Amino acid sequence: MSGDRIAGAVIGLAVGDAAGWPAARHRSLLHAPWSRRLYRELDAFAEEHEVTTLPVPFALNQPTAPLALGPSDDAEWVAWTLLSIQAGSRAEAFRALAGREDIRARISVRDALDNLARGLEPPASGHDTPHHFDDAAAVRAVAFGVLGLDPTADAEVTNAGDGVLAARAMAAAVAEAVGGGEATRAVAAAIDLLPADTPIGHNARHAVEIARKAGDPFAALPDLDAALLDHVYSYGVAAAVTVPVALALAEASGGAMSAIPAAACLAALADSAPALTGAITGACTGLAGIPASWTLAARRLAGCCLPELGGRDLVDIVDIVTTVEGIA
Amino acid sequence: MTYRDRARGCLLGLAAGDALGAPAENLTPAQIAARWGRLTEITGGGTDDTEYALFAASLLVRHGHALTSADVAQAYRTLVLPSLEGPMKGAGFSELGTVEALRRGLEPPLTGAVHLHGWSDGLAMRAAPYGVFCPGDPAEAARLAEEDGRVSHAGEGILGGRAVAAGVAVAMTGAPPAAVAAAALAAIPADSWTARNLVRVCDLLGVDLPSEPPAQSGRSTVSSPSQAGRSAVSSPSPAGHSAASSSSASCLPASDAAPSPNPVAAVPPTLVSPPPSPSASPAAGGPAPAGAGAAGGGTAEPGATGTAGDARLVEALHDAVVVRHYPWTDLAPEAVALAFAAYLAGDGDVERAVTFGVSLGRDADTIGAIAGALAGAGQGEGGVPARWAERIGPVAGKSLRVVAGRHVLGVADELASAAEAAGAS
Repeated sequence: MSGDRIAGAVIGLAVGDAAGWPAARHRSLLHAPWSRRLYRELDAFAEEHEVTTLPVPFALNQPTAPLALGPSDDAEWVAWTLLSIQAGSRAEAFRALAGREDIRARISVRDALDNLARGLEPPASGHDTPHHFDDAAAVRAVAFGVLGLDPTADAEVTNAGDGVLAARAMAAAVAEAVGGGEATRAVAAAIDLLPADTPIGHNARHAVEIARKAGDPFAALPDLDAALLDHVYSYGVAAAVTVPVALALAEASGGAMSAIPAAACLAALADSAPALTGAITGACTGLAGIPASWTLAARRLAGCCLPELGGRDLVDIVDIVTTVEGIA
Repeated sequence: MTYRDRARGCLLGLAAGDALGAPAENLTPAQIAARWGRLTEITGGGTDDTEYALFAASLLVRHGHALTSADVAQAYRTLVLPSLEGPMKGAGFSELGTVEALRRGLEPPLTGAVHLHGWSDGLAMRAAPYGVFCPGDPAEAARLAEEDGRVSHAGEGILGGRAVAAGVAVAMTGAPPAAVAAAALAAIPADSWTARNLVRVCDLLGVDLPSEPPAQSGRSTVSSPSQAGRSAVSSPSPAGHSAASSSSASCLPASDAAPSPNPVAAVPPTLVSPPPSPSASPAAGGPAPAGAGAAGGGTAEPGATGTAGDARLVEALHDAVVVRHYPWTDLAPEAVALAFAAYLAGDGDVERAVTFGVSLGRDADTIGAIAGALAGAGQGEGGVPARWAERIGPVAGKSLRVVAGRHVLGVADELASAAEAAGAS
């Protein structure tokens, strides 16, 4: 069963990743740059002509497959982490990416690669960046959580503060869900690692309380929006917001996949909150509990952020890694 | 030079740097050079830097050394929030986020941590008055700045404010720039982004920092502000006292936390050329500046002079501390390091420090304001060019209505009187 739950966590993350609206934007990175310039021009057109018809990613003279429902950045970075988890130090794994111009990553990761190139080592490499609080490491922590490993050394390469706490919390939630399948215990394991006087610790407790009171993931959304999203800036991937929302919705759904569409409804957080939510609920339900249609749509990577992963099957990757780790 | 003269010089220098840098904010050095050659003339008003500094000074006048984060939060609630109608004009993300947090009923330090812009330079830009209030006592200046900062900032944003407050406190004694920089470093943990950046720019400039052992209360941490040097308050060092013996700690470049210096040859501070005379046409200030910032190599030749040497130094400073993959420029570790670099490169002269500071672009008004405050504290009111002083009028209250109509010189006098009453000299 744990093998099924491990695959469930990884595919659940990919399902959530695919469900959020930003996935199509990330996947359109596979198109020629000029086609994305046209999006910007259409955006300007809508502004100039005062129309509410908003542009969505399209494929003029380009293959349409990238715009089909499917996983994007978060699934690829988790796959990269799974495949490099056996390698030497985490800093070395990242250093191997330095200088590449064909990859896409969060601001924290880009800054960390610059810092590594300047000679900084972790934890300074993940600390000396304005985006140290984002959830890049929390997403990667799903890979550590399914294997029961500590994500701290990995997280500190690219993040600090709440960004590292978030990674520990996610790994703990996923590890607990893979082991026991109970969302309440998974969420409790995560919150145990979040000091109450940190933004993420404060928000996580507040979010869980709100969702419990609402009694249902979808019903919780307006209050979560009011309490956690300050809308002062477009930090859609701040770990202190996305991880608490994921924990709260996963618990409120009782570990069911219905938490994912709820997370995707918080538009500002739709890049990663559905993915983080899906990792926890997918670990609870196991791969067998995820709708087959979604597994089919989400398991094959696009290669939009890490081109070498284009076409890779996440279930195969999980099989390879769990075999090496002696788990499956 | 009197204490009051330095207080006036500090806040006047801050206002002048803010006003001079305002039109250069977010431009690249190459764009600035193409547009102005060297930007030397103030043409418009100041910005939020000056207004928030006046607000901080007013808090000190009211509360003195007893100022707490709760007082500051209360001041925001009673003096700032009620006057906000619609958008908070001229405010940075950190101030907006703080206002939202206060409206949600949060208390410091969560108000400064929850909005995620804790590293902004919004505290550093307003921290100079804390140094003015505590001449020769950098630890106390840093402690007070942190009390303010915990309301709106966290982590590196607080450290940036501590560094500026401590630096100004020592500059208020007439100490040389290297001792001022050493005091700033001594006020923050060596294992911090701000310290790493300060060390990098000092290495780059070849600045030899005094290396006396740390003063007993010269170090603090953000997480335990109560440990900072409140004890030193009862006996502030007299103005003019040697900063190196009263305050500064080892400059930390040899610390194991310090990164390898940027592989660019050290550029002696004297390489920064004096600005052209004000009568010269700004457009004729430098030869072919556009693209100079993109020149490869970046090794300054010893003995190089003029704008070519400046351009190489600007590029080297950008390589050393500028964050490339973040879309905004208001980062305290970056702005504070660049401001200290300008102050050091200009050897403490107000005009040289400020004009070089604003030539760096990025958050140019804040860089200019901090460099101007440090240099003005050292040089006094007379050190600020008269043609700049003439352009500094009462603030408009564009960012903070509560300070509308106040003038930096009047506030400097009030601050000096309050400090003298509290025991400073």
